[in-house]
Amino acid sequence: MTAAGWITMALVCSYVWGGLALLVSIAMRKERFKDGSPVRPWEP
Amino acid sequence: MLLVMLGMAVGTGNIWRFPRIAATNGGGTFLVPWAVFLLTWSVPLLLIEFAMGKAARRGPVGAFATLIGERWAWMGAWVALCATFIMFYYSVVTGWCLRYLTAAVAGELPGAVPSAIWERYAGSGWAVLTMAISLGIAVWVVAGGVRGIERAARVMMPTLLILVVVLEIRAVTLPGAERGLAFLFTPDLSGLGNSHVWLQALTQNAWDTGAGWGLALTYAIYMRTREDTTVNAFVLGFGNNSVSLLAGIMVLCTVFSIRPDAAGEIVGAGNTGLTFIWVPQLFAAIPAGRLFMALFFLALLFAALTSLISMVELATRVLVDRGVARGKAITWVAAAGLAMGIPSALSMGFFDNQDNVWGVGLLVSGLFFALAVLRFGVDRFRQRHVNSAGSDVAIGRWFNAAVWLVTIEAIVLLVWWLSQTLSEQGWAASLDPFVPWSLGTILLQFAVVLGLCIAFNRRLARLEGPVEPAGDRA
Repeated sequence: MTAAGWITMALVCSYVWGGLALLVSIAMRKERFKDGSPVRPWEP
Repeated sequence: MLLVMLGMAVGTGNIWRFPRIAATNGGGTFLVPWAVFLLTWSVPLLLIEFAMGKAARRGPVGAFATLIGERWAWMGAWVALCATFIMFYYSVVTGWCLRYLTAAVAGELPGAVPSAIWERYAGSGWAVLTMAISLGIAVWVVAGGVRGIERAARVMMPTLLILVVVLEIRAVTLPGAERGLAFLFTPDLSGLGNSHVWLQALTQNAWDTGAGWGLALTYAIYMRTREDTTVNAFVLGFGNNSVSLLAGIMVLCTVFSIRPDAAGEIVGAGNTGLTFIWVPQLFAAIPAGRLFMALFFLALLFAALTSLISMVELATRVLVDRGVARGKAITWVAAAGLAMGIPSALSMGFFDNQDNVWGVGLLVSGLFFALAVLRFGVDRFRQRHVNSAGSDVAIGRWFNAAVWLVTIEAIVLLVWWLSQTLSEQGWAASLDPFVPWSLGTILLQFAVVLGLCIAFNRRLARLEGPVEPAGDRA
């Protein structure tokens, strides 16, 4: 694979997968701070 | 919640459409606009859907009526009907995945003649049977209520993600797999000036994230008041595209490792040709191929089932909003799904027609969501409904521009598709309503459905069912 291919692969994968990992970590941290207990969606 | 939403978004389009579209549109070149449209189409529409569902606590018809007034309920009805018509043939697709999973487990695949099993099965009574079983499973899950959907997602989504990762590791460790990576990621910067590549990237984002279908709106009805919408919308968009990327690497590495000589023919074989004719042959050529083939079709089945469940829930929710008891609504949806799915199961021509018509219909649905927000007032919508209680991250003014951009993108895409169809088929052929891929068949079906929605608008807007209580008050 050419250098351009490796660079594109690194950029696209870090954008999509890195972005997802960052967002999931934000979501989990914020949810934890909301009520201090594990989240069980739709349950009272 | 995230697993349920991801289950809705991740469908067969991620696994069988993305690799094919990426490969036939320049690989690395395609990935650039694909990444851009994630933020300028999918995420804004998902934000709108989450906000509308959480604010209205009703399905698409009720949400449009609540947001912009009862005389616009027909827009929500269009969104709901579009997703429901897709459900009618998507149960057929789910049935195909079920059939191929059993065939892979039983060792029937790939068979002496590669396409023989597909030709015997597609359009036969067996396709009706597998469609009915798939629909039955989805209806059974939805009958268990939101807890039932949550339980199914808790099992299916982690399994699907693990399967995709396992298959990807197998694919990239095959000898010659780097040819697939090179094909997928090597960019041709001159290709970025090609409008076709940009439009294909927009279409892929529109069709495989589930943005603008009304499905995210339906699940958002059951959110707790304090549940976040902004981060969830981003996670959903990025999570969906992450699975697409994994699937792209998995499929193309396998293709280029096993049959580099026929790569062009394989990726050009269409969704069903690639998945049901070529994939069994490719897996049969690798060590422990039968096991990996079964895992591939299990992943495909779970991806299809979780999306089908969300479509059944949407149709059920619309009837519940009209005042129909949930049990009766599910029965009606199941009966309609079975009756309307049979033509698509028996005729590939009918299937292709419906896939074509309602695929374009989804672009209109996305446009309706953007127009509803424009009518309500983009800034007012952002401040009141997007940045609502529980939102972890405040959305800034860029959202206002993004909604305008979605509107423009939808119009450009529809005009482009119109001009493409006319130039490829010519005026006379493209207006024939009995040709599966014609403009005439789309316009006729759109006119009938839109006409009915507008004619019955007053009745549609009469929402006699109870507003869903917020999840934290249930």
